[in-house]
Amino acid sequence: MIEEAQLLEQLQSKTHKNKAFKVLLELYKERLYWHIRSIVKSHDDADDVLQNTFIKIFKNIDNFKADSKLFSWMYRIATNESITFINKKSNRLKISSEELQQLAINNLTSDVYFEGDDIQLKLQKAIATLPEKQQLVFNMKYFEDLKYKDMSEILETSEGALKASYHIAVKKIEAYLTQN
Amino acid sequence: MKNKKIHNIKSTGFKTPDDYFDSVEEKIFSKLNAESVLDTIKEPGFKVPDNYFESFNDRLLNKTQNEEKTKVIPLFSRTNLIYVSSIAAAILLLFNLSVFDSKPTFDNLDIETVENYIEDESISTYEIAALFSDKQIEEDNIIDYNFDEDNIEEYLLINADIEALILD
Repeated sequence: MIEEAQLLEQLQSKTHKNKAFKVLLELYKERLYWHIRSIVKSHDDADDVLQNTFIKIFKNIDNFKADSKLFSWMYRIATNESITFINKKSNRLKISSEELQQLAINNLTSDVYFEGDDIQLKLQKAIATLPEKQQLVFNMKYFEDLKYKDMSEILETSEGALKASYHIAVKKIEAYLTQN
Repeated sequence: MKNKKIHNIKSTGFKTPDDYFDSVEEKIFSKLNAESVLDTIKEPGFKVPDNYFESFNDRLLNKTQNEEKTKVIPLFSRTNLIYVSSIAAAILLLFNLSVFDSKPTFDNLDIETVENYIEDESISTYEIAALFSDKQIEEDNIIDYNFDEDNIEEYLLINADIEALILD
C-alpha cells in the first residue's frame, strides 16, 4: 500500500494529481460510502453525498495541511457533507431533521437496497432514536470499526467523551431492542 | 460481656426471597441473551446496486474534469466587488467630505449672527434652559465669579453701544 505522505505529495502536485486522485478513490470510496450511508440511509442520497465529498476533496486538497491525517480529514468532510445534506433536505421538505430520519427509516422497508431482516431494521430504528452525535459514534464504532483515536480526530471530540457517548448509545439501543 | 454477645451472633439477619438463587440465574442469562441480540447484528443491512463502486470512478472523474474545463467567471468575484465598492466609496466621500460646505465653528461665529439667529428663530428661554443639564449650572458658578471693575469696563467699551443701552 502506498504511503499517505507520498500520496499527498502527488495529490498536491500538478502533474500527478489526477493519477493520485484515482488511487485515493480506490482506497477510500467504499469506506466513505458506508460511512455516509449510515448517516443518510438511502442509497441515492449516499451516492450524491459521496460525489460531493470527493469533489470537495479534489478541490481542496491543495489547502490540506498535514496537521491531521488525510484519512480523518476526508472522513470529516464526508461527515459534514452528510449532515449538511440532511439539514438541506429537511429544510426543503419543511420538516425537522429528526422527522426526516424517521421518514428515511420507514422507507427502508420498501427500499430495494436494504436487505436487512427484522432485527436489523429494528436496530436501525433504535439508532434513529439517538441524538445525532451518539448516532455517529455508534455507527462509527459498531459498524465501521474505527478506533477511538481516529474518531477523536474526525469528530474533533476527546476520546473520553466518545467512549462515554458510545457506552450511553449502546445502553439505549439495548433497552430499545429488549423493550420493543 | 459485650464481646461475648457478638461471638454468639452467627448470621447477619438478612435473608432472600424463596428460590432467589434459582431465579437469579435465569435473570442473568436473559440479560446476557438480550445483550447478544446486539452482538448478533454484524451488518447494518444496507446494500449497493451492482457495479456501483466499479462505475463510481468514471462518473466522478467526468464531473471533476468538466468542472476544470468550464471555468466560470462569477459576477460577484472578489476583484469585481473591490472595483464596485471603491467607486461607491469615492462617490460617498464626495458628498460627505466638508469640501463643499464649511461648517461654522464656535470660534468664527460673531455675536451679531448669534443674536440674529436667536431673534429670528424665536427661541424661548425654556428651550435654552433645556440645553443645560442640571450639573452645568450651579450656584457657585455665579456667586464665586469675580467681576472686577476693569473687566466690566473693558467689556462695555468693546461690546455695548450707547443707543442700545438707552433703548433698554
